[in-house]
Amino acid sequence: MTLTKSFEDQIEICAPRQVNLQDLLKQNSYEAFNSDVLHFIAQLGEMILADSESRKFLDVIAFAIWLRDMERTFSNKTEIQRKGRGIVFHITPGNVPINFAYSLITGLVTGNVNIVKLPSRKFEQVEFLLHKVNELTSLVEHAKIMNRFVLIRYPRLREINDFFSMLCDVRVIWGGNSSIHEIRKSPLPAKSFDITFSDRYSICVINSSEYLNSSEKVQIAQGFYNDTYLFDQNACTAPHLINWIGDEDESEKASKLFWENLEPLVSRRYLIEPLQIIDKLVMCARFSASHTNAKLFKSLDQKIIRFQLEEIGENLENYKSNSGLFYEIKLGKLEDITKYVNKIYQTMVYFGFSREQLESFVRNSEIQGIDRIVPVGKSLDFSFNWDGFNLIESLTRGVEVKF
Amino acid sequence: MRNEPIDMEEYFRIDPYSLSHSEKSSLLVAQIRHLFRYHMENNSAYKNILESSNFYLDKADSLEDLPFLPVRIFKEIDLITNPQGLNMRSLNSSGTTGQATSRIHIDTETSNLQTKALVKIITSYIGKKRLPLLIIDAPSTIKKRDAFSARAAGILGFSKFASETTFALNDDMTVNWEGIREFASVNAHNPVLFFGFTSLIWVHLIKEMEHEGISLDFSNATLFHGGGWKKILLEEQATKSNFSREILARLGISKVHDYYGMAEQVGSILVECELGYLHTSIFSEIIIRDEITHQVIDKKKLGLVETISVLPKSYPGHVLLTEDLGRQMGLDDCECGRLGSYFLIEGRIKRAELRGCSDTYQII
Repeated sequence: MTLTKSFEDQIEICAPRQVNLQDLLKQNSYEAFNSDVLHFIAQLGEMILADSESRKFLDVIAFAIWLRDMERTFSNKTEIQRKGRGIVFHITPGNVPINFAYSLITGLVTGNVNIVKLPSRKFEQVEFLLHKVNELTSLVEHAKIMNRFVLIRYPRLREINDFFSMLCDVRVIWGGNSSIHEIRKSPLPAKSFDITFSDRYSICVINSSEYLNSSEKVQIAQGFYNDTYLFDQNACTAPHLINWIGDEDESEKASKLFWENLEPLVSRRYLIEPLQIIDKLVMCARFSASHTNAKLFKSLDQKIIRFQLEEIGENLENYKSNSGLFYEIKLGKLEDITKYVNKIYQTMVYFGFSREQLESFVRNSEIQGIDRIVPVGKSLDFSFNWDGFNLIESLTRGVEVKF
Repeated sequence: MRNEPIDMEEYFRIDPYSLSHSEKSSLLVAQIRHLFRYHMENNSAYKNILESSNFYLDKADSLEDLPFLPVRIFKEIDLITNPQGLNMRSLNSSGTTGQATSRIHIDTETSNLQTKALVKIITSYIGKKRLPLLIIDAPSTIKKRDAFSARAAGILGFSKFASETTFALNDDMTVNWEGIREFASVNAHNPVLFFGFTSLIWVHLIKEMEHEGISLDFSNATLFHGGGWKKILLEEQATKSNFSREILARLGISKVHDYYGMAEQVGSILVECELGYLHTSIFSEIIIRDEITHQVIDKKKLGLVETISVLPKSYPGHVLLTEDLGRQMGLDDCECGRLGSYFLIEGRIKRAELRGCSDTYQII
């Protein structure tokens, strides 16, 4: 399969600059956690952290630390039995700057050759990372790694999607749903498959009495801020519904204190545009038009708008907005959430529950959704387990040897 | 002391610009409170919306206290106040390309109120005598019966002032040169009325006249035009002053009145006076609010435009927060002599680029 010159000319190779596409497509897969790959990754992390410019970007620093520490975590875990599947084609989201980098690294450590479509918007963070990748791949010692990935940009063209889709063994599509439907119009070879990250809905559960007793209310507010406002409450992992678990009076008090702690932080740090506020008010009107007994509260600067609910009807996820619109409910026990949680639900951010409580909750309930349960403040942390996929396993083939 | 609402028949007997701001306010508060009560009693969705915000009509004593709906809600859900289950006509807003349009449900009563208000407002500018009308639009605009557009509503409204009507454009939006020439030969130098949407006038008439090198002389005509500037500002870079200049150069019209109105509040338009200010009439009021807090802000400061109209009965469109920006320029003291508040409208608020993984706002 070839791509005509006119389409080829529309593909911009952003990194590595010297990559040879024909060579790249001929590379063999490695085993998972190959030492050369881990070494390259660790060096990339070090290099980013050594550049003072990286300090401008919280998300870049978190990414670099993850890279730096990966060699230590995985160097003795080389899995001879698990080999990369071959070529992975990543379609990364247009509005989360460094999501592409996590997707790429996952493809690399699993021993695959990677073609990564970057967001077309030129985020500062992305340009910074591209610069670092180009710097590192120009070193002779990483010549082998250089031909194992390519970061590209191209306009929305079906022909180019078709071309890369027919070359790949796995296609990783980061949502939303309309992008997934669009990319899926391009067929895959029979043996290849998609890993899709569709639009999801996330929630927060707080143990009210534990919250009231906590001396870390400011830190909790900080963590919740990072979970939500850092990406305009528009990341799939950002909670929209807060569940207060426990005694009703305690939940009432906990909720009041929670918002009182969050409000000054949000007022100070979150920048909001007038239209984001109107978007929230339109959603509020849409929701309350068809729901009774929902009480609306707004902070003075309207950066926090929230509904107190008395019950959760069907499809609350259809009333999801962004930029600080929350729904909250008081529930007697954690198990009560299973009544409304469906397959759309992804992340459950928690405070005040023990490991035993959460594990027994997952074991003993017939909950239909929720793929991640993470402490407040950690919802954006990347993990090789995402959306219920074990990415290390999905992107490798396990070779069975029987005696 | 609270005034009692008055009958709309009586209301229409008042000259639309004859009341001082404070006289008008006390009259409007009574009318609007009455409308609130009516809509809350007859529209459960609207009642739910108001009750979620803890709104009590009894506590609202001024127009500023009354809760508004964001105007875009009419693009999202159908809000109908129709206790008798009457047949309604649905009015669709023009809507920027690719975006949802508003669905406004209008019954005969509301439609009549809208027409009467428009007549009162426009006749105060042109007098009561019917005039020959040139509509800068295509005849097919008013023929689509299923989807009644804001453009059609405007045309039908202005047709009330017409002794005869000519459409300046053909159905394919080319210029109806023959029609215009005939209109000119009969009516040149007589008082006549021109009406159209700003962008249509600019793109389909003025630009074409320029292209063909044609100029006409309607020195006794009055032009009313409204609707979004956005399109022509983006595509043609037309400004208000060169719009007026071109109208004078190509059509010879010096009496040009822009107006501010919307599909969600047909009838109670704000017309630009001889000095270039948009005046509220007794049928409407405008409140300028801070873009973030939505608190009322001072005269002459730029903010979000809230529009109040006494007319909507078949849908709860009496108090709306728009996405337009404007400023109040004064009360009762415009040199044109009209009483009440007057304003300037200065564009719309901008679409924000969100972070996150929803692709709703994804950049192509």
